[in-house]
Amino acid sequence: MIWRIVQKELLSHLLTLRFALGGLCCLGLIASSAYVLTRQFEGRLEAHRSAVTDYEGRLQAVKVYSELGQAVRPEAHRPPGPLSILCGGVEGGLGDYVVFGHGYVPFEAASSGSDNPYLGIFSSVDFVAVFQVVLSLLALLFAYDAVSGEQEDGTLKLTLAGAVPRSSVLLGKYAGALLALSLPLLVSLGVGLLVATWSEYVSLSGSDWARVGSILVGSLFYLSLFYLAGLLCSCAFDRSASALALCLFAWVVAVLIYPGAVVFGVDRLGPAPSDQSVKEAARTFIQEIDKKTKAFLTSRGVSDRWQVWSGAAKSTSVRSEDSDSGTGETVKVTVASTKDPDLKLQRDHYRFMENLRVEIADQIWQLRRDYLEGGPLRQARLCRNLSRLSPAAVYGDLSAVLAGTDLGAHRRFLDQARAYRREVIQYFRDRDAFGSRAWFTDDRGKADVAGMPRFRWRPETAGEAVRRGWGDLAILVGWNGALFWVAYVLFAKRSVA
Amino acid sequence: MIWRIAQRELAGNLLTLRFPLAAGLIVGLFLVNTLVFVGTDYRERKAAYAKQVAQAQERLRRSASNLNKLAVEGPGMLYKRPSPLSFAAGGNEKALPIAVDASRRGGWGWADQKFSYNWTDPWALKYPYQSSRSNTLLRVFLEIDWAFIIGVVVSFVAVAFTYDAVCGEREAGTLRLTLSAPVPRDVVLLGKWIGAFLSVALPTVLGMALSLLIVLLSGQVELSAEEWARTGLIGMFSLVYVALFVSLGLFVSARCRRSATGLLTLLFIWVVFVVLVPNTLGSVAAGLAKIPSGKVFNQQVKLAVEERTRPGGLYDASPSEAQPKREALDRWARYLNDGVDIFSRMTDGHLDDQFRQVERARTLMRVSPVAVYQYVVEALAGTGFGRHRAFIEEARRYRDQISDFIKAADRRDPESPHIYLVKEGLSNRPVSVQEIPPFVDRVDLGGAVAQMALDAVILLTLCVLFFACAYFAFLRYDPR
Repeated sequence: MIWRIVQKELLSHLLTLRFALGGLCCLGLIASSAYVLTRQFEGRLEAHRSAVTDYEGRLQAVKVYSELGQAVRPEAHRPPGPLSILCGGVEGGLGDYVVFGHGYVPFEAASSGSDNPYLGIFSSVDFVAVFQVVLSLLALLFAYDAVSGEQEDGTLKLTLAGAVPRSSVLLGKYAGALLALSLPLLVSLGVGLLVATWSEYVSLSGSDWARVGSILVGSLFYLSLFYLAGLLCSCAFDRSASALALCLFAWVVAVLIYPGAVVFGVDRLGPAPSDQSVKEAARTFIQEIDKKTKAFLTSRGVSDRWQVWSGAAKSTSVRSEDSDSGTGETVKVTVASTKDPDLKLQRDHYRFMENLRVEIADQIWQLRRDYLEGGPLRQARLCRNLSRLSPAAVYGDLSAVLAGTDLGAHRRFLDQARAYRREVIQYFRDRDAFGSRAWFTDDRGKADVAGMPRFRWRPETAGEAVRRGWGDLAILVGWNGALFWVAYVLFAKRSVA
Repeated sequence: MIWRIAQRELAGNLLTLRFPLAAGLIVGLFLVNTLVFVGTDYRERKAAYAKQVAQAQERLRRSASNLNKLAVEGPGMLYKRPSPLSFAAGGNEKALPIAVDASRRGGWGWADQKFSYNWTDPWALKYPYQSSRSNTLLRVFLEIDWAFIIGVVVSFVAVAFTYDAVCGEREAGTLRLTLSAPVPRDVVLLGKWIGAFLSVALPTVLGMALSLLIVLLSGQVELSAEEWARTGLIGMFSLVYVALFVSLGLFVSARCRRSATGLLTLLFIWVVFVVLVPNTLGSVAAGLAKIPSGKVFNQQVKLAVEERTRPGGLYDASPSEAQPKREALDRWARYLNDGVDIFSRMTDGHLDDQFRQVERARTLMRVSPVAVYQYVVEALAGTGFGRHRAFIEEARRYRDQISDFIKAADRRDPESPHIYLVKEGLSNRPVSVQEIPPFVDRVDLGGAVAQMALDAVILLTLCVLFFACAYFAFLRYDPR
């Protein structure tokens, strides 16, 4: 019997104008946004590739190790993820490469492909945004008259006059509508992916397909939630017009207003504290480098830092940066004939100073990390938790996690970049690069940069992403269960006389 | 008769569930908007602006100790004043740059056995993209301001109030009864229009009035007569926008036989043109033309400035000699001025390219009434991209003004060689800070009206067009 009700429901939805309009709207928007987003992805990937090539070129030209302290600082590049076409998340706005040094721990990323920052005032629509808006509205339009409409038409009384349990009727309606809703979802997602994968730049791996599958599951739960919310309203009201009014207003609030209002409120009512105190503390730390280096040199009988080169160099060129990051300095020296051909003092000086710089950078990072955890990241977490009251926000967050474009993925990138910095420092230490002649001169051979480890972005596996998105999925499933139960109770108690 | 139909329509709307829902939502959002504005938002932005301007003044005072120092160092940072009407339209101000940098660009020296000169490249306008966003990890994609409340929420309410105005009455059979009486159809339509318009406009006007009342009582903002006039115009165009959607709703309702069809069609139009199109078209238009990235552009500028033609004999004599030769000063002035010209031409051109890209996107987005309405409100509130562009133009005018001032002040010193713009070629007398023309960042009503003229015309035209469509559709409507 349930199957018959499902068939009837499915057919009645498929033959309506709302299905045709909603489906076409969704398909058109997904196809057009797939084209636009794929073009954007191609541009970002091109920018990424050219940035990596450019960096490699600069790296090849490095002659002395100290250049890696400032002039050609090591970089870590993250390629754009193809699933950003499905759900852009925060990936585009937070940057895709970081620059660091042995004297600087990175905490933010820059964008290699942003040719016009003013375009940031426009937002873009991805697949998930279309599903969030169009299909959730369609789900409500399918549901608002499912019970009250049938009662107004008198067909509900006829249906229930037969020996059909109410639970079967409700389940049949739900299953039929969900099947009808999954059609535009599947077709438009399929067409969108076809448009995207048409591009030679987009290739999806097995893990990517698993993620697409997970997003699809999340989308079905999201649509089901809105259908059940509509069904609940339909069971709660006698008139379908009243159910529709409530559904539409609830939709506007839950989908269009609340998620954005939470971010707006948190941003405006409690702006993140300034990082000025971190910068000031960092400057004090950096002054320590000068002080301790001076003390080190005094213990070696040298009164002034620049006297290190006295008699040892024909010409020197030192480029240092006076900022709170204290990145490092580039020293290029043409060595003169000197009493000490091994340049022991000079090498000891740099070995001491650059190791100290690493330590100080790590200490500054501790301060910066505390600031980030207590300020900007806390705010971002607050926003996320508050916005979980809206199913649209939960669905958006879940999709971003699965697509690898959320804040968590960005932090993972920064963590990997910091780990990479440690690898580079280890590489330097293994070769005693800080205390080597090649730190400041190439008179006996260039610095060995070819063997320096290169950064490799390791994205989460699909399984890890699903584990991280589990909470959001559980919220969607929980909402589904609760709404179905309330709708069932209301329907079971409903008088159809 | 019109008034009686309007009253009936109004009463019909007021007694439905959708009215309290709509009124609660609209007024609630207006309250949220205003409380956030007066709570911290405007106060903090105003305090930050005052601090930045004070720092810039202090720097200017130091530069003014010597005219040639001022000529080389420039007037410093020029800040954009936060608009007191940003509660009406935030205009993404937090994502836009807050200042233009009018200070020196750096300096180099050259020394060999015969020649030694340390020079500083004189000031030029630079456009750093430094926004006032406190947390870049937050993706602020929505601002609860009047433009959003009216542009998105009120237009939705207008759709919800009008979708069944004609076809709903046909289904209920009351339209046939109404039209069987000797009432002309245009009177019926106008009555319905007034009734629906009042149903939507009432909570909107109430929300705006409450919002203004809170702003005034908070004491955070003192609006000038001109700002009141601009607020009045914002209110007026908000009502024109409401009228547009009421007319559209009546038109669609008069073209449909069933109210369900009317609702679907209107929701479809609303979702596409109000929610999705403004977001999609921005990125579409942005991708139509490519401009070099900031990194590449900076390299191009550096190369062009470094490789500019050096006048013959540039290194023959240094301007820093005790008695510098006039030819040396002339050569160096030409060399430095060329550098400023190349830098300014390229930097201005690059910014103009970026602006053109944004303008293209904005032009394309004008297919959406909500984008048109937003541009009108932003122009009147003195926020958004249009305002930022006007700020940049003002900064460029100021560049000419300050250059003229330096030349005029230099002419007054008989001991100066009057060679602009090499430090040693200009007067070294102090300048009174009061004499230096101040940078005045203001939004005047005339400029705002000129900026919004096109969008206001589009809004009014759409409103008249949809009403005419509704009128003709209703004249031909079969009430059976």
